[in-house]
Amino acid sequence: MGAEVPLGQIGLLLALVGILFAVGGAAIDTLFSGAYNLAQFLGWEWGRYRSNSGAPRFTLTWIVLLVLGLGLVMTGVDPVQLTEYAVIFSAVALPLTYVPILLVANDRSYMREYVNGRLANVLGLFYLVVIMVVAVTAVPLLILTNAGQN
Amino acid sequence: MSKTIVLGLELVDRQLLDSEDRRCGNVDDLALEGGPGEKLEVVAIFSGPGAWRRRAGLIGRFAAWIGGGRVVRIPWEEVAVVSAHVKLRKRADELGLGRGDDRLRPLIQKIPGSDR
Repeated sequence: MGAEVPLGQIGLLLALVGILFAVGGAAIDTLFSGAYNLAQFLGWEWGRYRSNSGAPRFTLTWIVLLVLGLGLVMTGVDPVQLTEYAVIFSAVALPLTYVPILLVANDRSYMREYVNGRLANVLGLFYLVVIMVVAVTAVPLLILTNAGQN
Repeated sequence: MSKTIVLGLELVDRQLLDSEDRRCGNVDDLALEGGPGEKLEVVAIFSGPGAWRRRAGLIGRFAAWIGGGRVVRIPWEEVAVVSAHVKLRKRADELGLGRGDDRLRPLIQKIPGSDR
């Protein structure tokens, strides 16, 4: 019996605590990413160097996203399948986040002496091509492979 | 102020910062003045959802409606610096900017730990 359950209840507890921290950490990333996107797009105050009440719309945005996320999980949807679809659509959206960063990296008024050199731009454009291929093929592959089922 | 800037690329859509470095909206549109043969001058910045109506067709009108349709006119004299952001000479509340944050603040302050 001892050999079959080497860690027993303590192992289970450790795993559960680990999952809690992993999921919690990912949730914080996701909520803040959404709130950063909205606040920066609309010119609102944002960021953790302000207090929560120092950036009220930013704070409200991540709270609303937390409630929405919780609501989505509580509908009983298969979380693994949901994640798979989310990853596929994040691949589709990848060029939309990559191109602005590449443009900013080439903007001397933002970057000053850290502005992209030729090597960085050659590599950057190469990755852009890779990302474009992934983005364009993601949804057709999703349909053709029946979401990886065959 | 002798540096040449491309208005569409280097002014429109930039972040507005007030005199205390508070982020208080974007440059959503510009007011230009000058008749035929005259010098064309930027006289004001427009900021707020109401300015999206003129910029993005049906989606812009819908977004403006969702956002409440308010638009603030900031006279060009209030602009201190144009760089990666647009820095203003006055505080946001004096110019009528950042109203959404100011209105929401009392509500967020009710949450324990909101001052951290």
